[in-house]
Amino acid sequence: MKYLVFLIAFVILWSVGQVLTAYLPLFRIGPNMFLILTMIFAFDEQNFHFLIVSLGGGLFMDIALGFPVGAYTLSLLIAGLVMHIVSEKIHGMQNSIKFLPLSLIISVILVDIWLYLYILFCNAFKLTSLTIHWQALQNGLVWQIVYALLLLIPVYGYALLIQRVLLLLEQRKKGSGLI
Amino acid sequence: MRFIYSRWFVIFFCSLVGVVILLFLQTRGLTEPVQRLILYAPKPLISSITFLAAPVRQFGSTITHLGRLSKQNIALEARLRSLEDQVVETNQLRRDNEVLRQELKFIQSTDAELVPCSVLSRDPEGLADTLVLSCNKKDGIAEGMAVIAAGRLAAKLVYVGQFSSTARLIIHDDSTVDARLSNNGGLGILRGSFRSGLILEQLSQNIEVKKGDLVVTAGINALIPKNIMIGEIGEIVSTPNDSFKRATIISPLEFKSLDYVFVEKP
Repeated sequence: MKYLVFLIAFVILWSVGQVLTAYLPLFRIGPNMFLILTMIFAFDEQNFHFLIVSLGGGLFMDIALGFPVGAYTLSLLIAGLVMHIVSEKIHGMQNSIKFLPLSLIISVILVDIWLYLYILFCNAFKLTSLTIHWQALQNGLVWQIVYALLLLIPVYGYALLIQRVLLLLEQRKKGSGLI
Repeated sequence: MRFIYSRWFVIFFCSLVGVVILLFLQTRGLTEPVQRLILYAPKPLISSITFLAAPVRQFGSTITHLGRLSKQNIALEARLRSLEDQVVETNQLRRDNEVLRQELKFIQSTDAELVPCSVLSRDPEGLADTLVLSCNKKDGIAEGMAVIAAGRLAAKLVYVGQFSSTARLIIHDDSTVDARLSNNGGLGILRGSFRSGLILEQLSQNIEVKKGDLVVTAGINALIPKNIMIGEIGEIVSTPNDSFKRATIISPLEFKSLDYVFVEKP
């Protein structure tokens, strides 16, 4: 059931991203929404939901966009893992969530670099016929970061909604004795 | 504890192995049923949101572009009059051509076969400039064929699978198409350009090129039929000292928001 909730969440996020990208000249907001979701879930030290988001969301995007598997999957996974480890290290610090915007800016840049190198690698080994140019990555990087920061609040709300649904499901499970 | 024995490393390593296996399956075309599911599942939701967002967008667009629309209207009226004159002339030429063809017993070329496809997903990045299309191998299409939108060349197929296909937009840096000027037949190479959209290169310095000249496919590539409209000359970007002429091409297509396209079989 938990996985179904995540799948529905991905479909909604993907659909909103596709519609917004078609109508507005926004830079990479679709993939960045998945990245933000991964980062938010990575801050939660109690569970490994960020793994589902990074692996599931990344695979969803890679396959839907026709990119080689790993382009987004691995970048989201690495970003989520690093964030989770850092989050564990700074455990106990008050308002650790305030590090989220800074970590988001860094991960947006790193994901871009990863995409370029990974698709270049796959192309070199004839695993894909797609190519990416460095200029395309540089295009609107600043705007991309601005949009990612603006999206932080709505996606944070969305993440809270998902967590609430997951909590409700868990409570219902416990209530029915199906632990 | 050493890092390689930590749970994080184990998680990362297992995921890496999983990704490599999936990448292998993807290159063999075995992930296509999953791709089909992923592409078609959000379709109703995307259609609903698009349907709801369309009037809002149209209203906003009309308000913001009111001044430009008025200027555009004047320019288009002038152009319409000029085109009407050209249509009369073309009709006369067509009639003459038909008469001559009959006289000389020329074989009339057949009409191109178009395969309709809907755009299942588009690369929102503008990174790889790709479109994932609903048409597939069963439709008889092949890699390298032309993808057309609103009568204009939009993309070329780079991958054709069992359930979907991937096309690369002609504005991508790695896209090249043989093209010619429709008025004097001057041959050139159409190249995608990250900064300028489309560039017509390798045009001979002897050929006269001016703003507004129409550019069509040359038909040298066997998979792309000739005379598919591409766009019109924007401005000449080369100097008389250059070996070849270069010009920017303006296409009326909105490459980022294509919903329905056709694959033209040669």
